[in-house]
Amino acid sequence: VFGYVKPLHAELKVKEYEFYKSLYCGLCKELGRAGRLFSFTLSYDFVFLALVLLSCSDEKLCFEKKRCIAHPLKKRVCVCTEKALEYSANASALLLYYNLRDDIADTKGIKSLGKRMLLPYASHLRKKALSVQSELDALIAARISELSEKERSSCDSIYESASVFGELLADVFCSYTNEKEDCAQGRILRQIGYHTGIWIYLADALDDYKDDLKSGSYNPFIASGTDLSDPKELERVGEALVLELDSVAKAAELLECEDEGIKAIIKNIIYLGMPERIATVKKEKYEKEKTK
Amino acid sequence: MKDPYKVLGVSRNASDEEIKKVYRELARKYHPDNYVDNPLADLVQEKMKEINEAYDTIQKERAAQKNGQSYGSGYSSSSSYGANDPRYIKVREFINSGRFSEAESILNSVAQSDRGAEWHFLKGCVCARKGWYNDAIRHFENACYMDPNNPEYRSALGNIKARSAGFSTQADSTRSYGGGCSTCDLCSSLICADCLCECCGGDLISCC
Repeated sequence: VFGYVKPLHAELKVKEYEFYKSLYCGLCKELGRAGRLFSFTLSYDFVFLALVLLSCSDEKLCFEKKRCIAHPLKKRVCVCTEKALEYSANASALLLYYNLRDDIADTKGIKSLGKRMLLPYASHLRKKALSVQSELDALIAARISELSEKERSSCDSIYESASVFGELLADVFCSYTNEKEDCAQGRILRQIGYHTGIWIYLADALDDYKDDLKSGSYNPFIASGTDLSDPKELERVGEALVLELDSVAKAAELLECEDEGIKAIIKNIIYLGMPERIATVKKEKYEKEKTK
Repeated sequence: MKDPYKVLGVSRNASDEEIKKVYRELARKYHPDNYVDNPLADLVQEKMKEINEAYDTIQKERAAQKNGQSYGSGYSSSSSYGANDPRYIKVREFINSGRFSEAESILNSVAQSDRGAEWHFLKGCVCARKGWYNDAIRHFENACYMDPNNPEYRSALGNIKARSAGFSTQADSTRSYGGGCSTCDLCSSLICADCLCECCGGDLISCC
């Protein structure tokens, strides 16, 4: 499900690009602390999580030059924070574990072999994250089991499963604040997480629609009888995804962020990077077919 | 109270014009109309209040002789409904008071055969609030299809479409090179260049 939330690099200022890169490296380092191999599982979505969390806390950032295995020749600048990166890394470990377990349950036979081999490693990572984020682990576990239940039963609306994933991300985003759940900041973070979650889930479903039709795997569009080969349906889904982003943008607008750079990157991701991703999926998966 | 200049994000030496411009931009951005059907609407109202207060304070500070004008304080979204079915009146009450799950459970209890234009409209409102936009658009479309002359249903569909159009406009302005160089920039640059030339003894624009 991961890897859809990225900035549009071409529209970033150089300093913003550099900052984004060093945040990515910082998060990668943070993941590497739990296990070297784990660094390779880093996805852009969690850099977005870290960015949003940074924008709503007044944490001090520092920059350090470090070596890493992916780029052995040159030291890279990494962002270090007190809390935000560690939290994002833990959340990413927990989601990786549950996602993997879910995938293994879905796929049968030899295909799941690779994932089966990864599972003990992921559960080792989860154990480490569990020691700090046990509450979040319980929340995610509950949402994941709710999600797989929804995916097994038939439903009328694409949102019945999508909104569960939205709630899951809402939990991930808002568990970061220690204050009460109904404080302003918590509510804003919940909204960002909820709509981003629905967007990711549906973007992924849009991407996999044709493959899932062939393989018969679960897809919310197929399950709800939404025929995406009908251009009208496809257009409506596109519009709905834009509205989802609009809600993310409006919630993000309310974050009290002092750092103009971070604000600009978040804006870039929501307004340019994410729509670009949908445009690419539509072009690759839906427009090519027509010309054939 | 917060520093009013910080609230607006302007420096203390900003001109009145600049402050007005920034204020207008902020007022547009956080206008409650942008947050209709948004669970964060109350936060936006607070933010707007804060901005209005900051702007007023600066105005008063800067021009004691003038009376500080207050901008846009009377935002309210009210709609008049003309429903007949007592169930739908109840649903509308629930929607207006923000109790969406109660509204939805009444709607779901309506038999499939009784689901007319109004049902689709109200269901669409509940869906939009939950962020189920694909369903919301579909229900609004159905409502308009069943009752094409109803202004309420039309405007609901129009509003949700306008929102996605608004997002695209915003996205375009996020791109760099959006503004370009206005005629005004061009003239002032030429005048500056002329001044610089004159300092060194030359001349760029001979008439001034």
